[in-house]
Amino acid sequence: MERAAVPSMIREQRLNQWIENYSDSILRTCFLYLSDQPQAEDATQDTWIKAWKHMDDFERKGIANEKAWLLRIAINTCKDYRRTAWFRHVDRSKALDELPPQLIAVEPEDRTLTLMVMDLPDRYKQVILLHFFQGLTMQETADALGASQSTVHRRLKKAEELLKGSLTGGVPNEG
Amino acid sequence: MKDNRLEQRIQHSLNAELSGLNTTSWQRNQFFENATGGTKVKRKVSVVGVLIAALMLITITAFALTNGFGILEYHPDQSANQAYVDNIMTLNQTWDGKYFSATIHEAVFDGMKMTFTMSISPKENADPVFVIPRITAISGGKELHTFTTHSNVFMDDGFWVPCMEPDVIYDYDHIGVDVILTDDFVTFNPVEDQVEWAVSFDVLHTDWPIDYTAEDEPMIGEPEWTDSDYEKYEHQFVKAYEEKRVLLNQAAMLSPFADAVPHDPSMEDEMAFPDYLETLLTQDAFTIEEKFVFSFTADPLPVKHEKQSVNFETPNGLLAQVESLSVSVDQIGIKLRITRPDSDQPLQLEDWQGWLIAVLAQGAETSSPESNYGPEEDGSLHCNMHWTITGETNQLILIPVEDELYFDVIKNQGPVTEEQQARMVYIDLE
Repeated sequence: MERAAVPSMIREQRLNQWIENYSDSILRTCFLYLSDQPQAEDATQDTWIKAWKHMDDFERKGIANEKAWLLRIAINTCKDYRRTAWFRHVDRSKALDELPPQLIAVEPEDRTLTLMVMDLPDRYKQVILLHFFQGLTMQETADALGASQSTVHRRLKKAEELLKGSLTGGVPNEG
Repeated sequence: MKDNRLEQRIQHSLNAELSGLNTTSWQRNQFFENATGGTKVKRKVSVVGVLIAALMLITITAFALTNGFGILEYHPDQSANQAYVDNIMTLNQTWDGKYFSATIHEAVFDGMKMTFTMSISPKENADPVFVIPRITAISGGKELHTFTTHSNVFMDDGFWVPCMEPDVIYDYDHIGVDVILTDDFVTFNPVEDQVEWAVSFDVLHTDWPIDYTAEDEPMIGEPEWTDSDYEKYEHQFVKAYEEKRVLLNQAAMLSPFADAVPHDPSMEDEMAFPDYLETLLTQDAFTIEEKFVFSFTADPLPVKHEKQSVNFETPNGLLAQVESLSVSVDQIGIKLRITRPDSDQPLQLEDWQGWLIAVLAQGAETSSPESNYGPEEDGSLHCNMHWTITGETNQLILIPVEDELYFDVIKNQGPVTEEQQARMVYIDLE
């Protein structure tokens, strides 16, 4: 039986709570995906617009993990941005330089590893961001990507190979 | 044993780098207001964005003229490259088989790289089939080496129609493939003569039941397997073969199953992979039911080369010698050899780190470079770099730059430091 729509006040309270809890996570994920702070902020805003619009789906489908659901929306929003934007000349290093000052000391190897993650092909970057960075479980990552756990496993393995290869000076390198 | 080191390093590095990137309470209020009010936030459009919007309009017009998935849909950044666009060939060759139909829509060849687009439509209720593709190029009666550098769907080690990978859907309606002519898989090997291209497909069918492995080799974050675990895993494929079952791993790959077919181990070294795979699969389990070939002849566009020998100093004080430089209307390929100017000490891969080459082209735009590199026995490093270019050019400017200044140079369309100015090299093309 279909559940009734969520009352408006509860929807608003829930959205407000989500925005407080997850905006930073979503903004950072979008930044790592898009390598552009203004676009990441736009994508975060669009994520909240979509979350609001589809909140009844969230309720109706009884989705257990709100963070995974929101990150899925964020990733899909970023994918849409990627389809319509010109990323060939995005300077990821410069995008990092232009971020607000870090609150934690950054070592040169942090920059190297961050750039490597940002340079990963999308399908591998997604699993790294969701599983390693956002701490979702394998199942939650799979749910967020609409993929099976085995697909997530495979992509993680490949991502690990790519990162380890780059860390040890592996070739080829896509510049 | 669970290896968390990489996970922890990634977490730490990303958290440190992004520690200053936080939303303000004002922003969060705006998020809420805009979301509940349904306001779509106006995208921050840069000058580049406006240019791209103009380019997209041109592209959309071009698409309208294409029947099916076209080259300019696959490579929209070449829409304003008139020589490239003019050289696109409409093929529209369709093959209608028992299990699926396939159409090759368009192809373009610039003398260095051939790109084609195609689509595949599985027949309703048809059995799944495994397709092994091969791409050959013949010029002047001689077969040239080819290498698939990029594709959005095409899997040159073979693919299932329909897709058999659980929970994955490949977009068989929009397949684009880039193939380069190369001697060694990395360096362009341009031609001046006409090339006869053949894109062939062998369609393999099995009457054996198809199963999947229960689990795949361990992934990151999972306990590592022991040798006996691996033996057990590989034995599944041997057992499946003996029981006349086709066993796929979770990625629907057939190579572990093929490896389990009894064979002389030297085969793997002696045969090209598609031939190895096909030979083993068709030993018992599969039969080649259909074959089809799309063939076409392509005239290359003129490829230009550097007129004079070129050397330059790298930002980290090494000597770079341009061994070859080829420029088409679509690609720039450079082969470099890097040496120490004053020492015989062998160079390491790390000596390549920290710098790259910005290329400015007269009358055209260039992409960021892609590169591969490696050590040579004589202690030097070889490096192949290539860029996409958006038009014809007669002169290139190479600016060896520090990584962190690359985009400053691109934005400035020239050097931004005196050192870069001193290193800059003009190359006239013939």
